[in-house]
Amino acid sequence: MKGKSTTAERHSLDGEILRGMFLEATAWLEKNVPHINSLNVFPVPDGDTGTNMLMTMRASLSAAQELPAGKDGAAQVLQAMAKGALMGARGNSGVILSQILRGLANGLAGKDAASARDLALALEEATQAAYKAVNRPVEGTILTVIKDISTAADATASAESAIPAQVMAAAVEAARASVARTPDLLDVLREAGVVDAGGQGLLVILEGALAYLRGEDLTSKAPAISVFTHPSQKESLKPDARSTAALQTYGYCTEFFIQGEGLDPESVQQQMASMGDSLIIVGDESSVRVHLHTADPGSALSYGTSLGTLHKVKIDNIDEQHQEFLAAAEKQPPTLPLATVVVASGSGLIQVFQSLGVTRIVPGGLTMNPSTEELLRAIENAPSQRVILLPNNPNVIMTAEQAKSLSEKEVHVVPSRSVPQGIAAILAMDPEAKLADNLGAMERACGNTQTGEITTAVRSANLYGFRIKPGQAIGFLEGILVAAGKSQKTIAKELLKKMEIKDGSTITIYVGGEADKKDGEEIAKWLQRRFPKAGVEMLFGGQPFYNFIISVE
Amino acid sequence: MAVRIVTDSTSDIPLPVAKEMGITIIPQNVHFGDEVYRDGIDISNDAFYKKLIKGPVFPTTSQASAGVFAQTYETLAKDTALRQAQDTAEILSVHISSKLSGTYNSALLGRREVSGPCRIEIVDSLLVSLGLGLVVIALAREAKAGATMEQLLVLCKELLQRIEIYSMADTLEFLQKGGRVSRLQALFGALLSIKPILQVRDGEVHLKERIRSRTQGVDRLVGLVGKAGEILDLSIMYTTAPKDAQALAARLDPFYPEKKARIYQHGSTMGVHLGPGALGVTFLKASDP
Repeated sequence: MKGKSTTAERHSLDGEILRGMFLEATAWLEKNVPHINSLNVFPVPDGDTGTNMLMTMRASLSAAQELPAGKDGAAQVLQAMAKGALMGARGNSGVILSQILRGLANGLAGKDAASARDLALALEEATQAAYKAVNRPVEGTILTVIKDISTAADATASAESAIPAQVMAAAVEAARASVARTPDLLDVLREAGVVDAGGQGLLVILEGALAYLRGEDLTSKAPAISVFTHPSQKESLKPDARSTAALQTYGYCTEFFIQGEGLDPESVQQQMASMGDSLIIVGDESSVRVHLHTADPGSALSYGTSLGTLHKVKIDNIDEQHQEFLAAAEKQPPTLPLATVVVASGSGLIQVFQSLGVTRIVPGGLTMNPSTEELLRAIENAPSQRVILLPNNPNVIMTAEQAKSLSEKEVHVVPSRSVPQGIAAILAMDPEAKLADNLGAMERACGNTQTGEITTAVRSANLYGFRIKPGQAIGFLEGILVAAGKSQKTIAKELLKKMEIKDGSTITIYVGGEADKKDGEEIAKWLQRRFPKAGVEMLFGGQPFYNFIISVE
Repeated sequence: MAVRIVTDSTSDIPLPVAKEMGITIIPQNVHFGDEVYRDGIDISNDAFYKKLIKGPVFPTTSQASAGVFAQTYETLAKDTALRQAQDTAEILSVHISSKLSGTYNSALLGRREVSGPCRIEIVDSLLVSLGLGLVVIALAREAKAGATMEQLLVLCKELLQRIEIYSMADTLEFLQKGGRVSRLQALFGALLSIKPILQVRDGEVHLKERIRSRTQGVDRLVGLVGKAGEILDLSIMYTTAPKDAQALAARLDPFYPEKKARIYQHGSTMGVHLGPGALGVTFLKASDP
């Protein structure tokens, strides 16, 4: 056991300790993901903050863990983490988190170990980096929390005898208080009766890091629930069980043979059941084949070596596999003067974009937010030096800008906020127009497209004056909740009444993967009766979360 | 004796107008399976579009043969000789873009076969339909007024550069089958209902824009005319929707004051490629100051 009890008294934290802190922080974050996701004021798992932050932390850690011995001082560990986070960042919260890590790395540059003063400086850099990353900083979010953390850290570190553990403790306390205050600063949080999810995520990360320093064991602890209860609210928030199940598909596809004597496949199955998912054990007393999906292939392999020798070991990054499959499925055209990369989820929507001649399509993944790296890969993969990138989701715009800054190609981000906007933008492209004209036309097309989304709430929410219960049908117009009720059909009609539909408008209904097609047909028929001079189309979109996406052009 | 003006039926000049202006039109051939019709001569527009819509056979087009060109030139030359004994016949033959049809080629080959004194100038318009038609009509007018071949050639070259053609097809089906549109690849198998706005430029048909509704398309056409600046000649084309053409003409009035835009129906050749419901505009811009 590393000296955990004495770590709290150390005057400086070296790379190994910092790495240990972030490992523990990520493990604690993972436990808290369902709760953090439940803080999402949006009653749809689209863009879940907890999941996005966890994915970002995992990416940063895997980069840090690849450092060779002797090259893992404090500066190097943070540098590696920052780089990993940069590529793996998902969603706005992930991007800001990656910038916080970037700031920490900058603050600790050149240092083998971090003193209290160093930590405080690093947190100051982190705050600046975080604010710089956001176009229009909003208080009452993770930004306020990192700022408050930095202020407290600075105050604590100014004492001559300050040690890192004290700075961390002050940071955690300040974070807790800051998170609790976020509803005071941001109306939408107060109305929903929740604290800011990104801020909560940051708090949890710091809690885990501090616990490591103090040698505290958080694994048996229940996740802390930080709830701000609006005086009028009667229900308390419950963690969302669905989100945990959703995490299971990520990680590494791990396969290997164990060869030995007296092996017991059933016993192996029992022992490995908690290591991951999709566990398949086949074999006999001399040879057992193991297959599972796990975030920690090392543990699985270690267990295997305790039973016998390992053969034909194969470990694949599941995300990467998926990307490669998609890339292989695409044809390689000769170099284009201009390529388009779009984000889309749903087999039908992907097909629509393919039929429009889009160069590369990036699936959104679990939270419909791809990572910086996934976007970057698509950009690099596209057979052109000039790329137009369409995020099709407000929570992917920052990631898109990040990917653009990392690419050496000429990348232009058209900030589309929905798939319908993205489709309209692609249609507005004139392959022979000047790039500047095209970009202008695409942005105008986004602005001229109306997007409606209909789905069922997965959790309670207090949003824009609506009290939403799980299971209710809800409708969004340009991402804002405008209707709630019993049936999706009724909500759809309410939503459509609020949209501007003229003679000659084209209305397209994209049916989601979990939607009832009959509902869609009824909505289409109603539309055609009510607006006989508008064109109504219905297509299979296959998108997750939103049963119907309706576009009006 | 005036220079004789010749063109082909893709120019969409109505026969009465051609007759009045003294323009000779060489017809393309329209094939419905084994049946062959001379565009505008053996089959009327109405009959053609009925057949096009009803099916079942999908028509194709082919250029007039070199032989027909040779014959036509010879006939014109002889006719001139009859009227003015001392003059060598002069023929100015302006045709559909060589990138879209082999007609220009046929004309060149046909010229080789012509015996007797005759000056035949053949011009590749790099245009089609009324783009070609408006220029030919203008040339015929000048020829009637006594312009020389040299003057006509200069005028021709100059006018061709100031013509713009935009067309909206109602469906991609006929364009795909006709195979004359570059870069239409991206639209093949489109899952969304998309109408193309096409432009003829540099002798080829280009996809200018993709739109979702007819109304949007008409707005675009109006916009394209609107931003062209001063217009000296404007015509509107349609395949099977004359009322739409009239509505469009009314909307274009402000851009073409004093005169009225003329409305023409596309002949068979254009009809085959555009299909029913197509709507377009052709105009001659004023020269730059």
